[in-house]
Amino acid sequence: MQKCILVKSVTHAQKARDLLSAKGISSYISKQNFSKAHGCSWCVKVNSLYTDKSIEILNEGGVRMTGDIFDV
Amino acid sequence: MYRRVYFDNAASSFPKPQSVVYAVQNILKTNTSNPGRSGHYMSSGIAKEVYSVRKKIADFFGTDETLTIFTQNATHAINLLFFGLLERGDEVIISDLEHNAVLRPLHALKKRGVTFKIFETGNKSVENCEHLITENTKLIFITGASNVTGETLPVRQIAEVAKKHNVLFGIDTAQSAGVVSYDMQKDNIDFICGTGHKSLLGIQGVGFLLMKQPIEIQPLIYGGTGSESLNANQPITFPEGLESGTISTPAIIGLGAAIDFISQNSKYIYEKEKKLYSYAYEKLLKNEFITVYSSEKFGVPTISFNVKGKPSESVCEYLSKKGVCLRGGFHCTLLAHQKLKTTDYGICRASFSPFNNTDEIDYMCSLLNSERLSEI
Repeated sequence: MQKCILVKSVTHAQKARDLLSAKGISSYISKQNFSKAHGCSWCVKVNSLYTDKSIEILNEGGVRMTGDIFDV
Repeated sequence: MYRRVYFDNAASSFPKPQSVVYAVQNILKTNTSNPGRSGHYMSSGIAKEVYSVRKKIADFFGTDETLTIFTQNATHAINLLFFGLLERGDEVIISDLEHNAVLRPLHALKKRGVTFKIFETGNKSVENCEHLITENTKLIFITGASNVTGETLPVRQIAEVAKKHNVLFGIDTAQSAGVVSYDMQKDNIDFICGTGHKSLLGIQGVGFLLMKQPIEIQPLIYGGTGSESLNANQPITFPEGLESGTISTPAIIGLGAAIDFISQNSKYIYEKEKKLYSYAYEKLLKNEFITVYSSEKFGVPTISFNVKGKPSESVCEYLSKKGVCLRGGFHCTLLAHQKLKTTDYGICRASFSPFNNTDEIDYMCSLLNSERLSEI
């Protein structure tokens, strides 16, 4: 199972991918519209086992997240 | 047919490194989709390319890629900073060498209750600047190097003064980036405004505003950002929140290649440009019919002079007919020309790039010798 961590822009999505990769967590970026509150958003997909760790890494790295996390 | 000599690199550099030409050509041939808008593989691919350049610029100047905002040019970046940051009651301090890109936005902001003061540059630049700071001073903003004389300003020392007084500090690097190195963290620079097509050797169409840390700045242009499309309010997430509208991907890709070129050749570029400057300075100084306004000390490779008694545009027109491209007039810089007392005839400005050589300077100087001056 994968989780989608929504971030606020494509730049933040790519920064997220770089930060996670540096910590050995693989991720995949895609454009999504899961959240009607936001409209177009950018999704960083990670293995659900690493969701909490990923969020911690992204927070530390200054990645702007929307706060929405979805199963994908 | 005269040889072509291009000494107008301070206006826009020419030629560009081959790697820049190739990078721009390649992206135009392979992918001109819109980065950060669509989710398909071509848009994602170009977004990845843009991100890599964003990171490259951030690393080059010592900041974070999410605080690297693409603009059209340096003027756009300066306007974005001033109009986005400054509020009624704020005071700004600038130098007496600033370009109209700095002077005119501040002049316009007077109508919104923003004031500004100008300090005199010279031997006491730092003291003169510090003397003007008051409790209302929000920002000190100076050029890294004069676009008229090529003189560099004491950026690091003035940054220290700003830090001491808890004032924000920003610089215009249109003329100095790529020649002078800056590290926003080590040098305490809160904002850098710059352009890609001058000393950085990229192509026209891209500039940047860099921030050392996130500071609230309102957008200059509102519109699509590729995110939060169902929200009528502009999302103020850096960098896209300040980049509404499609960015110039080919220019950005070219700037990435240009930064690689400069990073790989920085020592050579500095030494070459310093050599060209000193060579031109010595030759022009020896000509009794010429007044040189630049100093012996090298800052950036821009040297200003006049042929005594001749309007600068007439001299530049004469040189142009012989194949030599210089810029005459006032260089969009009221303040510097007031300081130099050259608001009558203007100044001839020769500005070099690493692709120039001393033979070209010899040729220009030969056109300015006493026997030839009657042609002007």
